[in-house]
Amino acid sequence: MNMIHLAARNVLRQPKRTVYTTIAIVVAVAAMTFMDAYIRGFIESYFETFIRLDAGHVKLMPSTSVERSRPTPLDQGIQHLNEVVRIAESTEGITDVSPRIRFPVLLEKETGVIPAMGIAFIPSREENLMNLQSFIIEGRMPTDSTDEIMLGNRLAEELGLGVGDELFMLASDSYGGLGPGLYQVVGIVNTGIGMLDRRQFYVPLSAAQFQLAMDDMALEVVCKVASGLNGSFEAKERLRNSLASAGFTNVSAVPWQEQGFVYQSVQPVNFVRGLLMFLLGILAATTVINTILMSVIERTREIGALRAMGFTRGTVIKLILTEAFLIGLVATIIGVVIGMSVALFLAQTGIDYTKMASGMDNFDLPFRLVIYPDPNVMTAVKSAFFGLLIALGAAWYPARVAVRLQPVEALRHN
Amino acid sequence: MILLHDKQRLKTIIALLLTAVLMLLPSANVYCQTAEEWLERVDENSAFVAARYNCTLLIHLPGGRERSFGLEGHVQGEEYALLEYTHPQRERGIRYLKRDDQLWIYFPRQDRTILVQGHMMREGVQGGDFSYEDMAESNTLRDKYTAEISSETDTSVTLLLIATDLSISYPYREITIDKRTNVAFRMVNSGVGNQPIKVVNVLETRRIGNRIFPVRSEIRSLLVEDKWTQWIVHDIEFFQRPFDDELFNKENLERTGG
Repeated sequence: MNMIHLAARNVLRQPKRTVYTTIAIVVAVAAMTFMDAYIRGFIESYFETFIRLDAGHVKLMPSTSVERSRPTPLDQGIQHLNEVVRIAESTEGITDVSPRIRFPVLLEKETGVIPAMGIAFIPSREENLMNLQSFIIEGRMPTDSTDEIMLGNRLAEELGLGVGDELFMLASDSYGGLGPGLYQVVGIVNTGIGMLDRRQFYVPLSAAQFQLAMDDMALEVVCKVASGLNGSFEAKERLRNSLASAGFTNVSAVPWQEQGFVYQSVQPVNFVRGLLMFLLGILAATTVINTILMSVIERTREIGALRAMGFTRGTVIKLILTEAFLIGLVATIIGVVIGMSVALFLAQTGIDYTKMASGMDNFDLPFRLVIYPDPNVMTAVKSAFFGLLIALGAAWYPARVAVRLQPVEALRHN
Repeated sequence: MILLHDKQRLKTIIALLLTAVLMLLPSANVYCQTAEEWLERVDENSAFVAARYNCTLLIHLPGGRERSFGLEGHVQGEEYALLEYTHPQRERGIRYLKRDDQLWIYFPRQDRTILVQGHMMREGVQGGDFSYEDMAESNTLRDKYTAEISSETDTSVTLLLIATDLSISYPYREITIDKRTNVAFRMVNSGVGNQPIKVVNVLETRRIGNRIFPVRSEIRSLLVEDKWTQWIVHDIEFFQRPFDDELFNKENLERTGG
């Protein structure tokens, strides 16, 4: 208790220096807190977009496509689709199931053709999966078993089409022949993801099955898991067992983490996060070392007197570390409060990069351009630990310097 | 006795000579011809004023999948053709119209017509080995190729054809002609660099009037394994006078109600 009292008194004896040290730690901790929440929000948005619009939590695909790591050709889709969907729906922990077909087409416009990607699905099954209805800016979703189409807003602009217009297209059917389709535009969607809004359109599965000669077939069946992101591997096993017991050994269940490179692609982001933390720590630690070292040098005679009065080296080190701890504690609390407050505020409003990206028309980003930081308790705990570590780590060297001098020499110090 | 013996010898010699002459008679028709003359014979055998036919397009795809389509066609010389799918239900009513070297497709379900052009010309009809380009091009060989005899047997002659314009779909062709029927029963179509692309084999012929006509042909792409397409002509009727011009116009292509 005396040690803390003595340390507190020493801290308050040099208020300016204490304030500088505190500010350095506050800035580092606040930045670290916010950055952690921001990167978490970014990664979650990236994953969420990928899962919602493409991967689901688990995707059923033909085994041949999984083994060869290539897109499924139309003629090698999942057959006996209704049965596969029924099995997936009855598997424990699966809340939503939706079969889809992705097919490329060249859409004609007056000045040439536009390569586009059709997504065929059962609209009523997608409410909890793609959830496109919340991104519709005009009209509505196509309805099941109709020849209706919903276009990405920029694709619609490029084609010069609006709600009520008709769109004729020729796709290559599952045999390689021509698959003509005539659709009525009923909706325009703006997902906020350029590559989708510029290239994708959405049609009911039944219409695409007829157009592509894929009766009772789909290229993939997307499944949503009740336990969320982290339940995908367990769900995969259950789906695999259900399908195998029904004889569907040629259909594989693939969790979202194993689809494409999205999950692996965030590893560099984690590395950058670690690097930024390290740099922030170095920056703050330099200031802390500097101010505490100055304080120690100025107090050389005082430290010599303390040693002469019987303070051991260990006690002096403990005193200086306690001073640093007190400063670090206060600074960490302030830093965490500031960082969390900013993160919580922006978690509500989002950070909108839409305007910034508007000039990059040809640069497609596979996630939404509004990032919502995602602060949580762990963010605060990590930041607090980080702040105290900086304070104590940075004080260690000045403390060692302080006890290096003999008491007699220290007392002679001018 | 001697006279009798000589008479018999003479008879034998005459018989042998007659046999030899008789044997040589058909050969007089097939031997001693130039490559150009053979090409002209092939073209003449396949030329007609107008014809109406119905046929089956059978497509075998890798993996054992097969598709069969029924078609009814009207053809007039090299310039005009109108084909319509009669089955299956999904394709029923789709029509192709060829006018000179242009090809239109009408889709009745969507009531839309497209002009086949650009990259689509190289696509296979219904995913088969017979391309829209093959469909649109003229069948007359002597207008497009120079020919030389590359090999010859008693019954067949093989010609190497080199296009006068090397930008056409098959700048090089090797055709083997049956000397008795003038049918090119095997054709190897090659691209730039004389790289073989497709092989057409006539599997069955039928005498129609005074000519032998191929009624079952198989087209194999050499670029994809286990894939072939057959044209099987069930009925064909030749006409000496052209059809009405209206048959081959776009209005007729887009007519509704079959």
